[in-house]
Amino acid sequence: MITRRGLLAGVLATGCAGGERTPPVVGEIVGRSDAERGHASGSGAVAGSERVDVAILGAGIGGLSAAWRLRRAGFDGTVAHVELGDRIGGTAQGDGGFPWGAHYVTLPNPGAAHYRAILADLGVITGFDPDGRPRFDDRALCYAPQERLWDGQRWTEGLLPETLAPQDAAQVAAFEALCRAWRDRRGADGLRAFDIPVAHSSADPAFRELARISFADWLAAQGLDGWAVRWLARYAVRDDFGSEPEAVSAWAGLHYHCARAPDPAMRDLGTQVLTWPQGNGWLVAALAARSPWPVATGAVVRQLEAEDEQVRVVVVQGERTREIVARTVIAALPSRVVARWLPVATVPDLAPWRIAALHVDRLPSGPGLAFAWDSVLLGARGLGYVSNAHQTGAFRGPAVLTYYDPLSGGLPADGRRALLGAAWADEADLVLADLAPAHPDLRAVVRRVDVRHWGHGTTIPAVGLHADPGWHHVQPHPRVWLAHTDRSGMSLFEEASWHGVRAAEGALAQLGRPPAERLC
Amino acid sequence: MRGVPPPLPLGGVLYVSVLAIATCGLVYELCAGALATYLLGNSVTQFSLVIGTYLSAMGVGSYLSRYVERDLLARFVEVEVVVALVGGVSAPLLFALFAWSPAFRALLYALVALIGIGVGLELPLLIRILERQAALKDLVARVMFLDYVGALLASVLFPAVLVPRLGLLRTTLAFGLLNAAVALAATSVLGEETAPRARSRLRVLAFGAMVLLAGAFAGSAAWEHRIEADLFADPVVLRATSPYQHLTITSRGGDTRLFIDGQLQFSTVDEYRYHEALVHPVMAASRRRERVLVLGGGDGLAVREILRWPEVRQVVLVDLDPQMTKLFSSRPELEAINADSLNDPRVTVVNDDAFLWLQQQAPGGWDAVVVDFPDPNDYGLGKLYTAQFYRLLRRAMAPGAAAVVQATSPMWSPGAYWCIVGTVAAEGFSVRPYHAYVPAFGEWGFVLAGRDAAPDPEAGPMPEGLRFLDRDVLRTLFVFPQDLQRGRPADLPVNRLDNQVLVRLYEQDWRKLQGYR
Repeated sequence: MITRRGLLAGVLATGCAGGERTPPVVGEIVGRSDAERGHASGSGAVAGSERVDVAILGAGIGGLSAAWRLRRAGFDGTVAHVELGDRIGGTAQGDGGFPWGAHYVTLPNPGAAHYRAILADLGVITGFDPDGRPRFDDRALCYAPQERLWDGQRWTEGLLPETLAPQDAAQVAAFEALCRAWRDRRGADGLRAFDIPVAHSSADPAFRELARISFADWLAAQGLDGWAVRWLARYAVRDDFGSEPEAVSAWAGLHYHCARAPDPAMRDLGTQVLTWPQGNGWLVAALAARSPWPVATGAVVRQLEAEDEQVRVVVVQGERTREIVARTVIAALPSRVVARWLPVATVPDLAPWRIAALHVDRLPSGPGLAFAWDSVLLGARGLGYVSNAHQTGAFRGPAVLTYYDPLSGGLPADGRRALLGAAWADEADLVLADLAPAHPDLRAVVRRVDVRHWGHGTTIPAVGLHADPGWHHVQPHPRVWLAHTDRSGMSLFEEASWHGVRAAEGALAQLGRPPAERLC
Repeated sequence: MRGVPPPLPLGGVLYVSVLAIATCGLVYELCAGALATYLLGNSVTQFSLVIGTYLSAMGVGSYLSRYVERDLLARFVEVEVVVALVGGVSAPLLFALFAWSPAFRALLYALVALIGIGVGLELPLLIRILERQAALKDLVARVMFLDYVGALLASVLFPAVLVPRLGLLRTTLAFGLLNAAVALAATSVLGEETAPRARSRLRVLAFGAMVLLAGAFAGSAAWEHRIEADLFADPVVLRATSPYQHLTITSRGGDTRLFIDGQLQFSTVDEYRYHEALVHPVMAASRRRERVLVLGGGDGLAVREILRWPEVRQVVLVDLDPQMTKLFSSRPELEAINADSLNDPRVTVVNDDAFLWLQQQAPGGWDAVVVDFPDPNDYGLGKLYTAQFYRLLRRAMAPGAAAVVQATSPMWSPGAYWCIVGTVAAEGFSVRPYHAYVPAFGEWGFVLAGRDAAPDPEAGPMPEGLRFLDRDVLRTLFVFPQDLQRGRPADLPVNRLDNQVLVRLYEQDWRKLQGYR
C-alpha cells in the first residue's frame, strides 16, 4: 500500500530534481549459464587424464576452506580444484563489489577453533587480549545503524516497530528470555544445546526432540502466538534458511537465536556481526588469494567413480572433457549432487532464492531513519536489502542494494520451476514494486536491476533432520570427504568452513600427513 | 439597525452560501498574507500586496461574470468547487512551494489571484441567480450584508480561533471543505435548465472535492509537524535545498543567521567569538602553519580566521555540500560575512565526504586541522566523530601538528561532549578540552588535539585584529568551572562506527534538556 504521505514525499522529491523524466531501468538475469551447465547432460569422449593427490570439487566456502587448510598444513602435493560456476564463491560471491548472497558472518564462538584460525589468518581478528578475547579489525564490524525496519509508515531502527502493543512486547520479552535460557543450557554430554559449528551442539536426546517438531508448533506450544514474535521468528527462518517456521524444526529455529554466544567478555559487542561492502565475497577473495592452487571455473563434474586406491572424476569444461584421477577427493558439492554417484544417507533440500542487485545513484528516500546496513520490510514479499555503501563509511552515496527474496511460500521445487522461466522485465518489476511502498522515489534513483536466481540457495533444516546428532558424519566412501555446508543442515560460512577444514584434515591424514594441530 | 432585510426566503441555501463564500474567501486571503509574512518577512508589504492582489482579482472575476450566460447555477457550483480546491490546498501548497521552488513569490500571487477571481465570479452569479426571487434592491441589500458579515466573521475567527486551534495548514483545508460543502448543497437547488446527467456530474465533483480535502485534512498533522521545524523567528532571506541538507539564511537588523536543517550554525552578532575560539588556539599550538586543512565549515568563516595568519600558504576546505560553498563564495552579502575567504588564491574548496576524502590522503601532510561539522544528531554526521575518523585524521597530520574539533556544548550536551573528548584521545591524540561562551549557542565546547605531544596554544602569538581572543582570555578557555565538569563520566565512552554511541548520547542530552526547559 502506498501511503499518502509517502506519495507526497515522492512527488516533492521528483519535483525537486527538476521534473526530469525517469530513465528506463536496464538489467539482465545473471548466472543462468551456471544453472544450465549444471543441468546439462552432455557427454563427450574423455580426452586427457591428470593424476593428483587431492581433487577439490567446488569452490564455494567449503572448497575454499579445504584449500586454505591444505595450504596452512604446508601441503606440497598436487591439487586440482574445479568449480561449476563462472565465478568462485558459490552463494557467497561478491566480486562486483556487492554481495550476491551471504553477506555477514557472526563473531566466533569460543570453541570454533577453525573459524577463529581463518579469521586470524585473514586479518579480521587482529590479535587477542591477555584474557583470550579476540580483537577485530574495526572495518569489518558492522557499522551502526545495523538494521532498520519499514513498518508501513516509516523506517525505524531495529527489527521491531518502535511501539508494540503491551501483549506483543510481553511476548517478545518472553521469547527472548527463553532464548537466553537455551543459550546457556548444556546437555548430559556437557555440550551446549546449540552451538556453532552445529557439530559442537549437544547430542542430548532431550534437546534433539526439538528437531522432531516444527518451529511453528514449538512457538504455539509456548503460547507465543502474537504477531511480533511470529514476525521475528519467521524473519529469521526466511533469512537464514529460506524457509518457513512450519517447515523447519524447532531445533533449527532455536539454533538461530541461541547458538551465537561469543565469549562473555565480548558481550559488549552484543549482536554484532562482521561484514564487508561486498558481503562474504570479501572472505571468498581473501581465501582464494591464500590458495596456491588455481580454480578451474565453468567445470562440471560429470562422473565420479570411487575405487579402492583412487577416485576418478570426469570433468567437462567447455568443449573439453577430461579425467582427474585423485588419491582422495574433497567433495564440496551439495549432497544431492554427490548422491548421483555414491550413497549419501540424508540429503537435505535447498531453498530457491531470488536475488536482485539494484544499482542506485543515491539511496532511495523514505520517512524515518535515512539509512542502515540492512533494510527490512514488514509486509513485503522479500526480506529487504543490504547496501554496499554502508560498510565503506559512505553510508549514502551511489550504492548497490542487494535485495533478498526467498521463495519460501510453496515447495522448493515449485519455487525453482517458477524461477526457471522468469523473464527479466517481470522480475525487475516485481522487485521494484516490492520496495516501492517504502521508497516512493525508487524508480528515479535506480539505474540498473540485475537478477540472480539461486535454485539451490540455502539448506533447509527440515523437521527431523537434526534429530539424529550423527546424521552429518557421513562418508560415502573412504576416499571421498563431504565438505558442503548442507552437511550441517544450514548454510553458514561458519559451517561450510568447518566441513571444508575437517575434510582437508581427513584427506591429509589419509595421505599420511596428518596436520600437527587439529582445528576440527 | 436600519436596512436589515426580512428573513430569508426559500432560496435560503444560496444566501447561506453567500455568507460561507465571503468567510472562506477572506480566510484564504488572511492565510496567504500570514504565510507570506512568516516566510518572506515584512508584514506590511506582504499583507498589502496580498490584499491588493486579492481585491483586484475579485474585480477581474466580477467583470468576467458577464461572459457566463447560461446555466448559471451549474457554473456557480463549478466555480465553487475550484475555489474550494485551490483555496483549500493553498496553505500546504505554498509551504511546499516555498521549500522546493525558487519562483515562490510569483506562485503565491498567482494563487491569491486565482482565488480572488473565483470569489469575484461568485457574487454576481449569485445575484443573477436570485434576481427572479426578489427585487433588486432587497437582493443587493441582503447579499452585500451577508458578504460583509462573512468578512467580519472571518477576521474575528482567524486570529482568535483558527490560527491558534487549527494552524494555517488545517485552516485553509477546513474552509476548503466548507466551500465544497456549499457547492454540494447548491446542487440541491439546481433547476430544470440543468440536465439530470449534468446534475449528478456536479454532485460527484463537489463530493469528490470534499473527500479530497477531508483526506488532506486528516493527513495534515504530519505535514504540520515537519513544517514547524522549518519556521524561523526572523525573516528568511535565502533558502536552498541540496541533496544533503536544507540551508536557511535569516536576517533581521544587523543579525544574519545560517541554519542547516533547522539547526543554528552562526549568528553574525557573535560568530566571531565562536570562530576565533575555534581557529586561533589550534593555529597557535601547531608547530608549522603553512598547510591548513578545514573539514566542514563551508561558510568560510573559519577560513577567514585562518587567513589572518601570515604564514599560511595553502588552505584546503572539504565540505560535503557544493551548494553551501557556492553560496558563500558567490553571494555578495555572504562574502561580506566571511571576508570573501573562499575566493582567496590560497584556498581550495573540495566538495566531498570528509570521511572518504581522508581515506585517500597521503599521510603526514597537514600542519593544522580545523574540524567543524554540524552536531552529531544523526548517523550520517555521527560517523565524522568516530574513532575511525580520528585515526584517518591523525594519519593525515604532520609531526607537531594540532587539530581542533567542534564538540557540542559541555553545558547542554555533556554526555556528547565528553564522548568526543574520549574518542579523540582514544586514537592517540594528546587532548586539551576547552570551551568558550557564544551567546547564540551558550557555552560551547572544543577539543584541541596534538598529534604527538600535548598542544600548547600559548606557544605562539595571537594574530592582529581579533575581537574576542587575546592571551589572557585564551588561558581562561581551558579552565573548566565545576558545573562544566559535572557531566564528565569517569570512563569516557568511545564512539565507533560499529556502535555510534555519540548519536544516542547527543539525543539523550537534548531530550533531557527539553524536559527541564
